[in-house]
Amino acid sequence: MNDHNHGDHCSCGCNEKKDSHDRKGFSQYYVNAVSHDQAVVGTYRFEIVEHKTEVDNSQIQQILLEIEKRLIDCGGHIGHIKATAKKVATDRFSSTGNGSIECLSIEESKCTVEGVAIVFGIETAKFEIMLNNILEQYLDKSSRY
Amino acid sequence: MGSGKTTVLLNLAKELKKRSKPKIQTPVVIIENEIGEVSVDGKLLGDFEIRELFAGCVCCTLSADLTMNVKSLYRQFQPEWVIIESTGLAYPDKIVDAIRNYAKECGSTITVNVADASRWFEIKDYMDVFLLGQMKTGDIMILNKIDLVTEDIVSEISYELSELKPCAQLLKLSARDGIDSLVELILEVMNERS
Repeated sequence: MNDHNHGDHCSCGCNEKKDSHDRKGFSQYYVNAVSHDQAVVGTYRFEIVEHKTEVDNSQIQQILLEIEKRLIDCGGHIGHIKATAKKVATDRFSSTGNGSIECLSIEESKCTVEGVAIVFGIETAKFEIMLNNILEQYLDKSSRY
Repeated sequence: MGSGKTTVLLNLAKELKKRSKPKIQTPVVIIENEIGEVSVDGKLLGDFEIRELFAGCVCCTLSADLTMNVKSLYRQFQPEWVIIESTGLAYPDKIVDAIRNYAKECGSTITVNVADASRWFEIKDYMDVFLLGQMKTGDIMILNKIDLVTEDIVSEISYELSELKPCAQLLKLSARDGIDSLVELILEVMNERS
């Protein structure tokens, strides 16, 4: 595997980690974990689609609590887990065909969630897999592209 | 980490701005450091001139970016105060050293460390060297979130903090309820230093 030139489209699997950031099929999906000193720092970003005017925070809270629970279950320690959510848009359509304009609002709010988890007592790769598994479990099909 | 640094910073920045000299257009600027790759805390500081440094720590991997930004902000705004919020993984003394060595024209520094009363023993249990190493570098130590613990616990932690660095000023407070005592103390210390 090490005896050839690896590129972005290499099929040998050497760039699998890079692809893993967005291969889950969720819009705006990104997960990465790196080590820093004694800590592991996980960064995550994903988009939630809510079919109502206001984005519900409960799903984000559930995800954060699940990260905390699974980390503690496997012997790790929480430094800080945080996230910020930004409502992206409510789709609005305008159309014309007969001289009059028709406007239509669709009650579909998109919310981009970004966050950081600083944790201890877990391997970097294991924590990245954990984040991916949790997000895959909690993000419903409407958030997939 | 999670000790309430951003709450302290936000209240402090508002109060310092309120008390600043009228002729200074941008009295307070903020450098926000995130160890992760995205902005979280910076989104709470929208009312202020802010620089965000991501994906590293200003005490080590982003030290050069920090001093460049301090100098650049100082040149651009001539602020009365530059407040730096480091990550929870930083060693404050390294940050102060970097500024004193590479941005010394920017004036005096003061280090405020924030400890979480509600998680002090838990965090100390698994990373005591790191935590105590951080806390003993401050000019002012804040024991925050005292409303979440008993008076006995506040006394016990206060004793440990005082033992760590007897010459540091210790404030026990709940930052959500106000930080007047911190503002007064910072102004007093900075007056002495200038």
